[in-house]
Amino acid sequence: MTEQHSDLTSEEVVDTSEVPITDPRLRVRDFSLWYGQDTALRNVNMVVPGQQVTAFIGPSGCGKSTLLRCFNRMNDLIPDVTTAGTISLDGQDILSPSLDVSQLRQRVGMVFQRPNPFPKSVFENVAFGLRLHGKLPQSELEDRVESALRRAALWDEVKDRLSDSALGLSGGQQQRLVIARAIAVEPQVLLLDEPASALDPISTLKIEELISQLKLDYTIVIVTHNMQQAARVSDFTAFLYLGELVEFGLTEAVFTNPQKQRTEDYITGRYG
Amino acid sequence: MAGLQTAGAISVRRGLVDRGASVAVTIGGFGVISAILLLFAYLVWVTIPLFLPASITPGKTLPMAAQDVLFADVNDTAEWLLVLDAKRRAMFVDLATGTSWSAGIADNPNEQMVAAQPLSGSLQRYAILDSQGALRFYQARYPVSFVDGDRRIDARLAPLFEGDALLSPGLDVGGFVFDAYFDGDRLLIANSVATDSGREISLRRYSDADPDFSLEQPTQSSIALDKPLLRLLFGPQGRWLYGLVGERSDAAELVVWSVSRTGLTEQSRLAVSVSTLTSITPLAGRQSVIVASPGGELAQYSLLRSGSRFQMRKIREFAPAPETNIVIAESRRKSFATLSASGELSLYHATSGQRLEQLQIPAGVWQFAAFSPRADRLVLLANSQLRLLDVANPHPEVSLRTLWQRVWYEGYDEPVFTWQSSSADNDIEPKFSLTPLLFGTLKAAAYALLFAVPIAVMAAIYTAFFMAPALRSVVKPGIELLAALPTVILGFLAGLWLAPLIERNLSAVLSIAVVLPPGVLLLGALWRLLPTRLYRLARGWHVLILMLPIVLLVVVAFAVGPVLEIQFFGGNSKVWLREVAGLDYDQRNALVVGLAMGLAVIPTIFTIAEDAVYQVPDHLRSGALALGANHWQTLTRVVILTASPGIFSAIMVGMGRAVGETMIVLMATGNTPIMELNIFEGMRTFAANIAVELPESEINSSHFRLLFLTAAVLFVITFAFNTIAELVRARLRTKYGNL
Amino acid sequence: MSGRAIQTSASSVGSWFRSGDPWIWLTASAVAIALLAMLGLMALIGVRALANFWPSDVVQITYTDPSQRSATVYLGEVVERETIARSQYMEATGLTVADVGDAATFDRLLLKTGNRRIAGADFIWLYERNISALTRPVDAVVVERREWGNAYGLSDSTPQNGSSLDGLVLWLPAGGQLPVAATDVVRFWQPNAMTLTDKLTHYFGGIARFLTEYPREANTEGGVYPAIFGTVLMVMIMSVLVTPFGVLAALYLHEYAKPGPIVRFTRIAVNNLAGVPSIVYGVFGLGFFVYVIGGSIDQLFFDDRLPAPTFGTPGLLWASLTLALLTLPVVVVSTEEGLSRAPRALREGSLALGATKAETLWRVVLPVASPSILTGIILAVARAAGEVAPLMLVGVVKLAPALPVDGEFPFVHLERKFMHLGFHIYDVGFQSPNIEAAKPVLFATALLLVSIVLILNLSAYALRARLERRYRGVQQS
Repeated sequence: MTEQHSDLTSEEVVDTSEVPITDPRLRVRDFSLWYGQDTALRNVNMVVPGQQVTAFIGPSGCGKSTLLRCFNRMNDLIPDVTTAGTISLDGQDILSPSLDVSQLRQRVGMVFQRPNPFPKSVFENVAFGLRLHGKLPQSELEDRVESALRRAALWDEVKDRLSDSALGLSGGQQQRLVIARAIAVEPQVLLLDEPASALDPISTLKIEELISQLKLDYTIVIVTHNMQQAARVSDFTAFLYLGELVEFGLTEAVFTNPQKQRTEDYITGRYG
Repeated sequence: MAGLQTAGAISVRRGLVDRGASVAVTIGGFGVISAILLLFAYLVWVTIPLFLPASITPGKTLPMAAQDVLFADVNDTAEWLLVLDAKRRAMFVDLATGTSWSAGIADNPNEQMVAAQPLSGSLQRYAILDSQGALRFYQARYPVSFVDGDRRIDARLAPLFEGDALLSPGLDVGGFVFDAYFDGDRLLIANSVATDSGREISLRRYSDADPDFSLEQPTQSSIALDKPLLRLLFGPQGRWLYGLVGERSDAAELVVWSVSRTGLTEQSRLAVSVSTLTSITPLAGRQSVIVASPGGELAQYSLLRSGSRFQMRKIREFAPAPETNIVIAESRRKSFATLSASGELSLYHATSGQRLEQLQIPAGVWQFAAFSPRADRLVLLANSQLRLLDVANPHPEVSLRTLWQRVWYEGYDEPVFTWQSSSADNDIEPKFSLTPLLFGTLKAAAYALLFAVPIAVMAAIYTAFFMAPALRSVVKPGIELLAALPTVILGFLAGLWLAPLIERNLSAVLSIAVVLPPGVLLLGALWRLLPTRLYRLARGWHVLILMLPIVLLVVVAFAVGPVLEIQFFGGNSKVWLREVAGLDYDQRNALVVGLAMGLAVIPTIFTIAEDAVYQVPDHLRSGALALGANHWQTLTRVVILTASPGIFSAIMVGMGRAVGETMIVLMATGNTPIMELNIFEGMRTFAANIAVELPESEINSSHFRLLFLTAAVLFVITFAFNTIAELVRARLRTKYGNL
Repeated sequence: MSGRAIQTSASSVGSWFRSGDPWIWLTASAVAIALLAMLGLMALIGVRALANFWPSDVVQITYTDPSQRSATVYLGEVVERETIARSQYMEATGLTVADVGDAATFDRLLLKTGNRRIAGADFIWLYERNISALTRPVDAVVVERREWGNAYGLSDSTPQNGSSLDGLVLWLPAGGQLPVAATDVVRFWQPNAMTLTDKLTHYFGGIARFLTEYPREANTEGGVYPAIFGTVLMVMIMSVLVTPFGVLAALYLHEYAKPGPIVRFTRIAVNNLAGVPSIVYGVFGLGFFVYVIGGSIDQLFFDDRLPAPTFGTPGLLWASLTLALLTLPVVVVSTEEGLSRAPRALREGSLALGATKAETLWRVVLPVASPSILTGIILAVARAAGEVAPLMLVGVVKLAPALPVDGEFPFVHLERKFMHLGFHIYDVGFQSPNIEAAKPVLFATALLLVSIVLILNLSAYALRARLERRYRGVQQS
């Protein structure tokens, strides 16, 4: 730990006061994470602003997905994970063991790299989360499914095949269906873990359009490999490298005028 | 927006459901898995008492009025003791309280009782001799009545017959010996008689025609004797009489007479090789006697046939019991106990030859000892007191030695391996040797595998490596489907269709085995003469080409079978086998079992072996083929070598199945527990033995527990085979993954 | 064989062997033998079972016995023909070499003559060389009787096929007559006078009777309805027991238990239990279920009936439980296989929506696994239906006085003993005095059992194939 502090100027690196954040939603303080003996995240400090798109970029294994998965405690599923520091959502500690994880995940939705629709009908996929939280009248259920599908820009494509298996949809449709499924339960935060990496360019474009639509209602955190995508869709960008948060700021600033050499090297494609 | 911790009612319920499900699945799943483990634990638990040592626990001492005890006997429930003493007192003692009362047979209080003994051949019946030479017969009765809900037993001694048998008026008490036998039909009395010319044995036989048995007018006969008689004992069923004769007790001879309607016939004489004789005690069934000497020698002599005659032979010696003065035998099993003057009590079992327990009790003036009929109690008697001992000896006949080694049973000429669990009565001991069953199990499995392994492995290799994919997709599930065939079907066909078929067409069946491989090769060679294009057609489809020729071959073999029979086997192969090869032929034999069980095992071995060969990574065979190896070389030098652990594990699983298969063996063999390797004779396996005998077995008897032991052995064998196979396969999977 | 085109000179035997071709033929012959054995078995059972329902012609044979040299007239059905060797002929007839002549083989036929009460035996072997006349009298009648097996005779009146109210009088060709009381007649027919339609009606009627009637004559005749009933009921109770327990155990092993060497060992152990001989389960069932648990139940609840046992004796419940234990590994293994079909991504998708672990399992994972679970249950049922050895210890009987289900409270009598198709085969085939007469019932029962088991297995196979197609999408993601 002492070594960390000596070489790490993280206090300066992530000086969130420099970033113009008006509505902090998620706050990460001195956060470290270990898989067994291996350090995956080291002393991360950052703030995720509300109703904005925040992109995590960085080379493979830099910890960006790990950090994302901490926001809704998906890392709980991995045995032998230990953490230090805090992450809070609207001021509330979400790492607390007494927290109702299920409620947290309802407020912090997540979409994965590969579309993972359930082997059920399109309708049932979207209704899945709604049904968990108590019985709704059928009409309300239908309204909310429709509204989620509309917001995910999928309604027109699937409205005639709601009872067909979701596995019959194309990859891009499946991914939007999964997004619809996530927003049907009305989360505050939406985590997107490389949502377009398994899709073709046209579907990718649709997803990106969707993201810019969704940020009006949701706080979005997106992990991406694709620098252009990060530049296109995000308002803020965080660059992680070897488990450390190297740079965090307005996307424009990070891409045009990186403060750190490592960020610049990565953005200009010297490694990654 | 609500805080996260202040969850709503629904959320609380969901959390509870989740935790509840977790607990339920854990408990349920854990429970099921432990239930499975319980299976094995229970099998073992049932068998444990077989190997627990016997124990004798000293109980209370009770006062008793009798002096100079002549005889005592315990009733079936071990609650009552009948005591007879020399002062002609007969009394019952309540063993729970020690209260005693007269059995009421004192006709003439001036008479002394000189001897009392149980009537051999029956229980709770006694012969009592008084000093006037009158022999009277009594029966102890323990009628149960309920008074105000309390169970009361009204023990009494009732005369068995009217009147008495006068053996020898004015008896010379010192040198008089007798024994009496009664089995409900006839009464036999043998006794020594001193005559003017010397000595003789008198035998009286009371007619079995008269249902009321008046003790008058016996058929009487006698046989002269050259030496003084020391002891007389009737043998089994009253058909034999044993006598110990000799001028001195250190030069005694055991004589065996056969008893017939006409009288006694001497069968044999044997010098007893014991220095000085203390006692001779019949074991249950009276087929054997236990001979003891003051030096502690203890031996079992048993009645055996020797040529046309019967004689006593020493079949076993026991761990010595010095200074023994009392030997008593159990009435239903071959256990006996010795008591020495110094108070050393030892418990033996004759057949197993082992001393089960040894115990020091206060040395004393013990005059008599008696086992209860169920052998759970031992009573020692002295003047004015008796001592109770609790005996726990449920399974004396079972030891590792009796289970697995040759044992010399009563009535056998030599030690043998025999399984003969049930007998008509208690007199014939059960014979619990697991060796013939193990032998039978291995024999059946071996013949089955002899047939199944070559076919299954070869078929697996062909199917995985050479067969056309279209054909394989039908053949593989087809053969696997055979594994689901109920074995009772295979057993039924084997026993009722195949066995008679083979018996009638033995030479045809044997000739198929000889002719088939060359026939197939010949067909292959002929096929080669076809034009190249047709020749190529066979590739992957050999099987279909072969089907019809094989059927034809079988038909031809059956057609020429009778001719072969005349040509090679003198017209009758079974006679030929017996006379030339010295082999017996049973209709339901190991050949039938081998074929039927082989067929049951083939799919098991085939499936696993086929998977192993099929899953050999493709680049290995491509590599070999690229080096110019032909398909066969690729197969033998690369593929089979790689897959051999898988094939091995397939055979292990097949073996496990063959060892435990029940119905086929049950139905396709005669189930005789013999130890013959001959393929034309049957066998009895562990599994079939359980199926035949367990439904009839008395719960918690030695037999019952032994059947559980065999089940546990089967469990362990198959479980071990399967585990080894599974471990080998797991390693193979890793290996394939790394290749 | 691959090098055929190049090895133009390879015509010698040595090079042929070097090419490996002979060995390929040999291994192929192993496959052929296995397939032929299987097909032969099926064909044997199928033909022998189904042929017996056919009303075959009744023949009248004038026969001179080879040893007695006197002519007799027999009436009956030919059930088997075979050729035997000279030695067997001599053995069977007691003739000497001089009497037999020089033929190597002898043809004979097995005639079912029925009329057991008069003739003493149902069957007789007749040597074809000694048959002087063979006719098919139109007025020959076969009567299936309630007792004493079939009766064969000639009838001058022409009774209608079916049943008769007044009874029948049959004329025997050897002389004399045989009256059959009406109450004794199950049905009768005149095979030689029947049209094809008559015969077909008779044939399917016979099959229907076999499936729906109770057995007669110590199980050697009549139907197998109680055995079908017992088998089906036992298997149903077994599947009700094995399904929840098997699924629970698999869920625990696959989802809840902490992975590690213990779980791995347990998995192997459960797997290997499928290879433990079924008789061992029977022993456990008798010792633990019947004597320990059943005995305790009797002491607690049926004290008044002791010492006559109620549950402390083999019965339906214990048989079902024993077979449930026996088939547990099958269900556990296939359920686990099904659980592993639900990929991680699917579970994460559900968890990320806020579903709890239990909800994820119930709503996402189990539906994906359900076809596998169903396959496991079908395979378990197929195994249980064909298993006999353990049942012999825990509850099956040759003749149950009453079905385990009736109108008497509590309607399903779990403590009763029951009949079973597999045990029926064992019992009829190996415990009955007249096995030759019982063969029709035996083969028909065998065919029924084989069909049930194979149909179950095939449907499991088909189900598995279908679900593999259906969830291919899930597997790939």
